[in-house]
Parts: sequence; C-alpha cells; structure tokens
Amino acid sequence: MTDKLSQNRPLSPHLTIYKPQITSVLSISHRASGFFLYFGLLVFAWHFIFTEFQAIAFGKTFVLLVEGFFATIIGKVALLFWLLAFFYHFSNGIRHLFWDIGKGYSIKQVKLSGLAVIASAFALTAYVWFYALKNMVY
Amino acid sequence: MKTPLKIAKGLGSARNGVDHWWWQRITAIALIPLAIWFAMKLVCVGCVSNPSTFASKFYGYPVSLIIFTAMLLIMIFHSTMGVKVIIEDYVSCNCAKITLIIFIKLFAWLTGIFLFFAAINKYVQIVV
Repeated sequence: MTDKLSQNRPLSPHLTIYKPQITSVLSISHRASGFFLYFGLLVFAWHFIFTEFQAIAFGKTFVLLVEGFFATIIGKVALLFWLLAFFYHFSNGIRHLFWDIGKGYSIKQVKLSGLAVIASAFALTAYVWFYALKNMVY
Repeated sequence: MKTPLKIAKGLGSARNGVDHWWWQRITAIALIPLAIWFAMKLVCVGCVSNPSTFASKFYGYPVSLIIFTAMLLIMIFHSTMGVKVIIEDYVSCNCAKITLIIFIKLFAWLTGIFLFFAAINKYVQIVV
C-alpha cells in the first residue's frame, strides 16, 4: 500500500453508511472485548508475578498501584467491564466455534445465537459480580 | 505477485496461515473449561467473609495453582495471537506493524516465563 493510487481508494464496506446490525455489532465487539481483555490479562499476570517477586525493581510499587486502582470506583467499574468482556468473549467464542464446525449459519440462527450470547454475557457477569466480587476489597 | 520477486520483496503468502487459525481454535477450546473453572473459583472464593484470604483461597492449593498457571499461559498465547491479527488488520505501515508484532510476541514470552517461575515460587511456598 505504498503507491499513491492505492492510498486514495475508497474503503469497503462503507462503515459510515451501514446501519448497525446485531451481526456486525457483535462481530466487532468480539474483537474489541478481546483487545480489552488482553490488557486486563497482562495486568493480572504481572500482578501475580510481582506479588511473588516483590524484590524486583518496581515490583512492590506495581502491586500497590494495581491494588490501589481497583480499590477506587473507576477501578471497580473497570473490573466490571473486564468481567463483562470476559463473559461476552467466552460466550461469543463458543458461538464462533459452532460456526467453525459448520453449524448455525442461517440468518435466524445467527440472530438468535447473537441474542443468546448477549443474554448469557450479562447474566454471567451479574451472577459473578453480585455473588463474588461486590464485597471484594483489596 | 506470482514471480520470484515476491520472495525477494517478502510479499505473498507466508504459508503458515492455517497454523495460526488452528492454534487460535485449539486454545479457545482449552479455555472453555478453564474459563468456567475461573468463574466458579471467583464465585466460591469471593463469597468468603474475609477478603484478605482471597489470594490464598484462589491458588493456595497445588492443583489450583497449576490450573491457574496453565489458564494464564494459554490465555497469553491465545490473546497474543488475537492481538497479532488486530495489528495486521489495522496497522497499515509495514515498519510499525512488524515492530509491534515482534514486541507483543517477545512480551508474551517474557510474561509467560516470569509467570512460570512465579508459579514455581508459589508452589514451593505452598508445598514445603
């Protein structure tokens, strides 16, 4: 894509004029939630690592910083979104695996499974949030 | 690009696309039971009255720690592959693209190795 001709060509499929549909919104949400989870995972992993190895430079600081952040309201909201992203990506990932084995391709099935994924993501998030994490204080 | 020029210019199929796709699915399948385990663990750990025991209840047992570590390692593998695709799709400048991909791959290895040794450290604490 370095020559000038190819740089000015129109983009397809014209996102700006497309009406958002459950299929397209869920599709990009899968990617967005995965991207968001990536950073959550790294924070989670390095929190574990630095808790074990506090002698590493910045180790203790990092642990305190992360735990301080999740003690604040913004931190708790971020945690809630992380949980939602987790269960959304989980549910939609299973939907994707069904597509991979060739099942559920009709328009009706795609829409129904999409709705099921949304319901499952919110239900699982609510369940884990209210039964597990609401009292969690670092 | 169907001439040998594609090799010289580094264009065309890398011939390992299926590998990436396949591993993305294998790790996804492995993560289904692990994610359920993680969620159940959150629920059964989170309802304890004393939050300070959270960590020790979470991976305070050898088997829990092993499952926990395996889950995180597979998650790092799975998510790094996903982010690689995102970079390939949205970063059009070749130089930045390749730099970013090398960076996330190295960072994944670094995280994984540190995680492994942190888990061993924790394991020794629990068992001994």
